[in-house]
Amino acid sequence: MAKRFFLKIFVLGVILWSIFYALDYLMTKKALEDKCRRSNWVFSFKNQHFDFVFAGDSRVYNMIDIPTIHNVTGKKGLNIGYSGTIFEEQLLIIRKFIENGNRIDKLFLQADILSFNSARRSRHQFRFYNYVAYLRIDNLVSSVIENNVNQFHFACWKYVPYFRFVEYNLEYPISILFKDFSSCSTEFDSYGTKLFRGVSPKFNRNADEYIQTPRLDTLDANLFPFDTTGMVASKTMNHFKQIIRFCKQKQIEVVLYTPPIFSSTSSGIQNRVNYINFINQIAIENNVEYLTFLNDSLCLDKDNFFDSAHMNALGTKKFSNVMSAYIK
Amino acid sequence: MLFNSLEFVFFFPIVVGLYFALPHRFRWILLLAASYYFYMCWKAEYVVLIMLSTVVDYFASLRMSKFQEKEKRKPYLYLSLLANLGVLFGFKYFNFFNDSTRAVFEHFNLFYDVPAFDVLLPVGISFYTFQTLSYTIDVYNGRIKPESNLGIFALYVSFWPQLVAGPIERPQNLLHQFYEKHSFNYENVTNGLKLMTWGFFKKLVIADRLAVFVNEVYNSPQHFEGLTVILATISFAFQIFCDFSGYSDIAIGAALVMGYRLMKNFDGPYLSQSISEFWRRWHISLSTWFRDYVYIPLGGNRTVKWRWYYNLFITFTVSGLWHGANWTFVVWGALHGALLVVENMTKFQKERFEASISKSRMWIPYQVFQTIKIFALACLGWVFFRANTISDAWHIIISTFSWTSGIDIPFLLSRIPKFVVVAIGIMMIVQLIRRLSKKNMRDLVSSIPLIPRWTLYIGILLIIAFYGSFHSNSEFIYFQF
Repeated sequence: MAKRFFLKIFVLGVILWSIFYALDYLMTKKALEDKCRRSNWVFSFKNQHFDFVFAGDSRVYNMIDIPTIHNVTGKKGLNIGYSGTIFEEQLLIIRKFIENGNRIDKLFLQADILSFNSARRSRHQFRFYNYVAYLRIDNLVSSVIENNVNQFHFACWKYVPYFRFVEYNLEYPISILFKDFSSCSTEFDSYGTKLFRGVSPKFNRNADEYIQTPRLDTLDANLFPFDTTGMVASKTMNHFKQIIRFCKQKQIEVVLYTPPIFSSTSSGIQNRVNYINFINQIAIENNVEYLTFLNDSLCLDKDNFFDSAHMNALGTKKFSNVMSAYIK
Repeated sequence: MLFNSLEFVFFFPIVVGLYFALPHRFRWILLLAASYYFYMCWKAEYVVLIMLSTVVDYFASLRMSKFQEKEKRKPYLYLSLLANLGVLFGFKYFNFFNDSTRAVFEHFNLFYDVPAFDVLLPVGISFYTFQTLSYTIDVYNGRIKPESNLGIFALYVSFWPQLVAGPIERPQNLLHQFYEKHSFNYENVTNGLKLMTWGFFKKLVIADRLAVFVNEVYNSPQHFEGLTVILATISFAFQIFCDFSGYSDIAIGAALVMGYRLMKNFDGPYLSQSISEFWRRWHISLSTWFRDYVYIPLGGNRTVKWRWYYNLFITFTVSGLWHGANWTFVVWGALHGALLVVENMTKFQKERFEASISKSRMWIPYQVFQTIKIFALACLGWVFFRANTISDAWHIIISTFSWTSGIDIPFLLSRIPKFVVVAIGIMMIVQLIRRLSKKNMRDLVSSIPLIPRWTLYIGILLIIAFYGSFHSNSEFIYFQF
């Protein structure tokens, strides 16, 4: 009886392993064709030289217009900001970008308090699903993922065919195998920026949403993204330092910067001192230049903003113009 | 540990493998260790509560058995009730009653300063507490003899397949099975695995996918109305059924692999034609527990009518409270109690009407209408069950009649994946076939020829792989009870 059972399990296992092995090959091939996926798009750049590159989360992705900067400076740049990323993911993106033979003269790395904060880590974790298609074919991606995931979990991803695509089947639905990516259009332009048009319905244009005394019970990721409490997450700080160290090794000049945040009042602007000092201190400790735009006049004009943390197309172009001065 | 976790994928075959490899006399030790490990994967220190419950009830029952007279047994029964219900109250209900009392005091501008109890609700506490209480109550009533082996009793309380979300077993069914020698049985193992697969299908493909849409609507009900709210409620009806019955199937299947037979917990409840029938088919282990240990001791239906209705209403209201420390659950239970009272009040007229049409062309349409009606009433109850507050529940009910924003078809299509609708359809067809053929689904599947049967097995596994939700935060709904 037991023999019969194990024989059937063995046969079932062989059939399933074969099916998943084939599917893994097909899905990997197909997933890498998807240039609309941000990570694939960044990794597609090879052996290019950029005078400047902007890296960070959505406050880079939506708030830096490369053509505006190019028109002022004549320099070649790229926006590799990626919404919702933390330093761990940005480190992987930057390392892979350089490993692909690209050169960067100056890297502008966006930093907000939330970038370092422990509360952020739980809300914005490393999005492994963006990179799992590379797991079996790219050593750098594989090693970064291995360092950030439980060993056992990693082994399943690496050695069990299709396992990682099963886990992220929402991001890699089986229907992808039949999709034609040659005609997919990205939501960002050819320099990597997605400009926000108009105003978010959640944007309270009459409220100064910068909080000096944090009120955790009212924190909402959309309205109050600037959590000034909480500990600096040591793992996140570690990844930040790795970015700095890596860039120094590759002779890339790093400039830390904090983009504008909406404030409905000038007293709100004046209240940002602690915020600025916090990041400035980190910049000094790591021997990098720091630029802050938290007290810039751009912050006061609601017409520049899509929501409290993201500028719209109009504001982005103005801000990009301001940034141009630091790129000449 | 969750059933839908990577840890379980390895825990299960290791425990089953060791189970069959070990001599029978050591198996209970393995199962007990595995059960405690299973529980401690969630929060290790809370295993102390299970141990406390086990030790108190073990010794209380042994002491009770020394006396013939119930009066002399009573103190030990009270000790068991106090220990178990005390812990349950402290961890689950204290803050609820405290907040409600505070609200009353504040309404009358009276001072009230009892602080809240800042503690995490132990997973499965309502389940294992009721399971162990059924044991002590049955010992008290002389229905069973107390278990003399502390280890076996501890295993009864903590048996891992059904520890955290049932079925709530009875000692008469489960205890003796730990003494039986279970050899490797091909039928049990294959049937158990098939049942587990079916459970995972319901949980991962249907319940967890529907949860996204349901949570979006029910966590911000003020933003939705009309068809969206109706579909969210119907989705929740299927979500909770698939989540809970899925868990039960996995639990029953896992136990069956090792040769243990747990009680059935669901039997096609959404095909019921009366509320009474619904409760004979929904969460059977809990409804029978309340019948035997609350409803019948209150007098059941062997009393005057008004008292009978009162017993029904109170039993269901309390069962609502069992589900959670929130007035929404109380209202849900009370609603079902009220529906049952009304149903019993009108039983005679209904039976007369059904007798008059049973041989006419109206019979099948009537049955279909009844099924839809009971499903609709169940959905009405689910509004309260799922809503975060009573006012949210009222808002949802009222907004079902408000269609001012029209129907947002793109939104609905994006939130309710087609494959989920197909999966629900498959599940309902399976339920209907079972009901109409009056056969066991396992027997029906086993009668299919080899190649189509294996295609079916592989097909379901692939569907789970392609469409199941594997995010680590997709807990079972009933874990919170």
